[in-house]
Amino acid sequence: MADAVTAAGREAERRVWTDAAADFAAYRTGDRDGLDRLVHRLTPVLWHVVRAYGLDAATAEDVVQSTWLALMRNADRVSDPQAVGRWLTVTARREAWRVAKQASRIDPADEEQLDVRPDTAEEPEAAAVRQARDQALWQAVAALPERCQRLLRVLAFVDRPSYTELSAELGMPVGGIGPTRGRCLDKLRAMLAGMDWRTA
Amino acid sequence: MSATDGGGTGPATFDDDADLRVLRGMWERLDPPPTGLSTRICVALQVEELEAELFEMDELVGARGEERVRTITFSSTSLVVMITISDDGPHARVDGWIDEGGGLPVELRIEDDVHRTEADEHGRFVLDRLPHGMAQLVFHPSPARPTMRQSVVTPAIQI
Repeated sequence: MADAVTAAGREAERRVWTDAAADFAAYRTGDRDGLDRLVHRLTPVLWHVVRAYGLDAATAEDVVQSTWLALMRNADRVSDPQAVGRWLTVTARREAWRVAKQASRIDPADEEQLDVRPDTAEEPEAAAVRQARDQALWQAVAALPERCQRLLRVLAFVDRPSYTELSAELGMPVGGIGPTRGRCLDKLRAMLAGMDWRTA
Repeated sequence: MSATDGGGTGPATFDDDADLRVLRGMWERLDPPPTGLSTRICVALQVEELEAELFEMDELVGARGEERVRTITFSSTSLVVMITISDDGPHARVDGWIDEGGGLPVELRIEDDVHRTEADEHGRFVLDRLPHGMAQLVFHPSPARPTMRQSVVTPAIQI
């Protein structure tokens, strides 16, 4: 059953990118609403990608917005609609990386901003269990080396990101990304050993 | 496949993709995008696209009987618009007035829909039976208003 849930999740993630390509194709052929649909579909993904670089919320919001403005200005240069998701995530990462390097705008208060956002559609008890699990997971991730945090968050949201650029950002050869991903996840699992952190 | 140990003797193997998906869920719940971010971005794109001007906004909230009424004044260099937003059963209603706006087309974008009307000779307009949601008003240059050279867009408002 867990396999079925995972497969459904994987399918939904893949569909985001194909739907995005359809939105962009519609926009390119004159359907203006296609762009708004695309913005609503991919802004959450871009948000997580940008936050992977440790930017505070206001800066992250600016970076996401300028990514979209860049798309609108360069729409003609994205030759294949299928490539729009990749174009956006690469542009967002490039800009986030540039801004993060330029000023270290890392948000020290991040960890304290957590405990809000109750999940409405859930039984209070299940929600409490899940919140505790999320908090533990968040803290474990926060204890990982910075490049692990960034790598895992980008990989969690982007389907096959460009390894060439990731390697430049993380200062490691392209061939090192796969093994690093494995090592980062191993560290996380070791920290969470004995805890039932996978059950959603 | 999630955590499987190799029959008790071999080393444990893990499904990295499944674990990344667990992390993804955690980030989605604990650090979601700010409310309204996508809508704000749509407005920014529209302003850029139309080379439009963005209205300044001034909002007043009052009550008319039991009903909550909001009056918002939008001003730009070329246009002043005042609207009142009220509830009409399950719908929302916008009553508006445009300074010297006789005959000017009015466009209201809400979620994925566009509602259009035209101001009467006194500059008044009504948009009713609207769904609730984040909306913006857009005014385009028109022969009815020769002094207006570019489109003007309001910030997104909750109606």
